[in-house]
Amino acid sequence: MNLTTTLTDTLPTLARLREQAARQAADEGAELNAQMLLATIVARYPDPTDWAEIKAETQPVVAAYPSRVIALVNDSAAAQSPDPVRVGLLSAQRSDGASAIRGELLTAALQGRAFEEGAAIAASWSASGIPTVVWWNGPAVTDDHLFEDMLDIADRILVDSSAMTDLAAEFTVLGDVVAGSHHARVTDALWLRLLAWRQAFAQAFDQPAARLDLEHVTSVELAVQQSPGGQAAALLLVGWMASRLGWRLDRRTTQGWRLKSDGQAVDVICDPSSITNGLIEMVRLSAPTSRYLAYMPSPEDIVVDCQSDLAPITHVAVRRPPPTRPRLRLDDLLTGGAHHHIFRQSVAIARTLATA
Amino acid sequence: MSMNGQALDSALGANPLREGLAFQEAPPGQTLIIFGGSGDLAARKLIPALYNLERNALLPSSLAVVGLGRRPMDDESYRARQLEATTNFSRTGKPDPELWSAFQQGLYYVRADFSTHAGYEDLKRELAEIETRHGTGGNRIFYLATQPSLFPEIIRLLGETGLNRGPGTTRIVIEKPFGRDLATAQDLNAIANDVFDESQIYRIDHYLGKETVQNVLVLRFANVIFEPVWNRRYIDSVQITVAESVGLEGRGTYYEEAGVLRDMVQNHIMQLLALVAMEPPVDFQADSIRDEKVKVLRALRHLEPDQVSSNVMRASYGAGFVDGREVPAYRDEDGVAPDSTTETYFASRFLIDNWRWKGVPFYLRSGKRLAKRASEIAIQFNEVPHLLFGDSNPDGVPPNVLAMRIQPDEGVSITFEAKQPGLGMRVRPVRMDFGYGQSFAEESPDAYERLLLDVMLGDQTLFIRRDETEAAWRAVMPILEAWEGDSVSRLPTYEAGRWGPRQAGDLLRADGFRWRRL
Ligand SMILES: NC(=O)c1ccc[n+]([C@@H]2O[C@H](COP(=O)([O-])OP(=O)(O)OC[C@H]3O[C@@H](n4cnc5c(N)ncnc54)[C@H](OP(=O)(O)O)[C@@H]3O)[C@@H](O)[C@H]2O)c1
Repeated sequence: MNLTTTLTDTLPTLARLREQAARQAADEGAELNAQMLLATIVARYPDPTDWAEIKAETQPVVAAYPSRVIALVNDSAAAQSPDPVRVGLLSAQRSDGASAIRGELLTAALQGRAFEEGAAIAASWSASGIPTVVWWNGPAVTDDHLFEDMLDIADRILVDSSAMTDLAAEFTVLGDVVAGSHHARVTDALWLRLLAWRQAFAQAFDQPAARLDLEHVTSVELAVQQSPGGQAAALLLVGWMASRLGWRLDRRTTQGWRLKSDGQAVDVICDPSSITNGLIEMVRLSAPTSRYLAYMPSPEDIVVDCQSDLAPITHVAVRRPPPTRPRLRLDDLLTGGAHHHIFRQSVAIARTLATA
Repeated sequence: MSMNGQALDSALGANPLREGLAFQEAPPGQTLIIFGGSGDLAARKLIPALYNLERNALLPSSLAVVGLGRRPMDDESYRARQLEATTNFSRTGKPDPELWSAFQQGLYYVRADFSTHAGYEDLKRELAEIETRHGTGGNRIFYLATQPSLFPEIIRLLGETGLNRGPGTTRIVIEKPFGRDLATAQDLNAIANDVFDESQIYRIDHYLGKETVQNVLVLRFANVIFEPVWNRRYIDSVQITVAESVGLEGRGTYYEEAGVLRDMVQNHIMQLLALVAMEPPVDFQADSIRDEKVKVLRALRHLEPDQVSSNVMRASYGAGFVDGREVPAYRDEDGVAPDSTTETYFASRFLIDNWRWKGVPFYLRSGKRLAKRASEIAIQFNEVPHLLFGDSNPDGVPPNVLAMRIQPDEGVSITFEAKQPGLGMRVRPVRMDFGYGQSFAEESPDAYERLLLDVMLGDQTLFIRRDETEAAWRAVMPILEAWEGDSVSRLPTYEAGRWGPRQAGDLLRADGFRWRRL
């Protein structure tokens, strides 16, 4: 169910739509609950994107998190359209089979200045009293009017560093934004995608015997997708390990970087991999008497094989870490933040590696 | 983790990679040994729960399950049986063939008699082999899912055969009922604590595994708006209802011995009461919470023999209609004596003698074959001290009620007054409602999933400590004793499919209350 309308008439149209849905639901004896929105999600689409595509992308998110989604679409053909706004309700099946309204979708096709000033539209359409999450759909940028505005209106802004093109420059921007004093907290989709890898390593080193090795790591080898995204993933993951384990940059090497931990060298080696689905193919941590090899046997699995010359346990498979579906990402967005310092420190190290 | 492992763990300090990632700790390898592996509980609850944990990738990669029972069966037929059971009883329906085939490789069946040494020696031999095959690190969980009368003997024999001291961690899960009165509960606890340390004992009350029951703690202690009014100054009364529409479901012989007081009230309802009435714990550690629960249970006022009849109501169901189907009277059910005086309905009024609750009545009720399956905790607040809108509301305005629904339609609602639209000042109650199903799309895990995982992780928070069961028994003993001394030949009856006997209302009427309509 959706209607097209104009910028000024958007909220009244939404109200009409809701009333209509309520009447219909009452007729069908179905349950309707549109009163429990948890967030306003402002999604930026830098390229023309149609209603169906936006809907398909947001539906699973609102199914888990009842939200009002405001999509700002950059569309040079927008001026020709008399009704640049489309409004609709999103519903989802509940576990008992009944369908329930879980969200609202408002899309605005905008052009030029109107798109750049889109934050004002988003602000006026946001539902009151609940957090606003901005889905930036790209890496953090400077000198972008819309990004600056979004930092003001959002409680949280989700950038995606896997879309970086110039790592040194963009990690510098990200570092500044993350360390800055904006109203919005910054979350990186790439960081969330790495959650599975972080979780796998954390689990592997939950074992006391393995914990001893953490102080004696001599090298970290990664096989990553041959793309800036793959590189960015490697930098952020290494940044995380380094921040947790107290490694500092020593110098750049031909194959990667040499880090130092209490005077001891940790060599980071980044090899290109041939994978196309997934940014990181494998990570190997070596210590004098053991090796930890993490890899993905399937898209949802990460296994860490621990091989030790000393301990009787030679093989420990770590169970699947939580999947990085959109649901989880929004979970992290709405409830996360308590461990922001870990992200900030990881970005800071990734930045020093990228600019070394 | 072995003792060595534990010592090493604390010497090393926290895992630096763990910070910020604490939400999903994987349990270490385990062998789960189910006494009564061929029984009903294993088939209906335990195996489906394990399968669903596996489905969500929450089980350790090395897990073996050994079912023990009397009937002859080999591993293959045991696996086939459990596949059928899981298909029928799992909340996620028919298992995924690939996942099941991997899961079932860890399922074994061992035929053993629980009352002979030989059975335990067989078990030991099998365990040694299975543990090497699966690399479980020698961690063991013994789950007592068999007749309660066998519990003391099993525990004793576990001790005599040295199975209480395994190569890794050893834990024991004890299903309810924990005794059938204070004395038998104390006996069982004495044996259990003789053979195992209290930190190894997990007394399971599956009610505590329910999301909505845990939500009582979150509602009370993660919000600032409830706790200040959570006391005798603002609360008029509390009602706790655990109502079932089902009858005996083939467990007549068991029920005859138990009755609703033992089956529901002493355990589930007392736990709910403890969660509602306890003081804030100092932290969320297992023992901090259990300390507070014990304190309230100990503060429950024990009835004097002559107070029982005016504070307690019992009854048994007569024939009637439930869900449009004619159902027999309790006395006509299979396994029930025709002159039975076992109660299928219980209602009572309890008082808690402490600063917070002095004088606030807690009305508890539970029964079988009631109008519907509904469990709820309702907090009724005081009336407003001075009614400003009396002119247009001559009957006063109804008090605020906070209702926590445990099942079905899990959620919380608050009833409060609002002005009815119009020119006058008429006041009408309205409801603010939070429904789990509406606010969270995730399906709740079954209680047994949560609890089994907690046992594997060694978290005792949702399990009942020795002193808790004993305190709960102490509170109901005066009732059991009064009933025993009372030579009634017939209990009052209520028509199946209704809300219990009419007289149950008298209990509250004297105080100016009514049972809530659920
Ligand atoms: N069923 C439920 O839904 C449910 C719910 C909550 C709590 N519980 C509790 O769970 C426990 C078990 O109940 P249940 O309904 O599962 O009982 P059940 O179906 O009667 O099962 C009893 C089990 O114990 C075995 N067994 C009995 N005596 C034995 C002996 N001397 N040696 C070896 N094996 C013996 C039986 O083996 P064979 O059948 O092979 O002889 C069977 O596997 C009880 O404490 C009950 O209160 C049950």
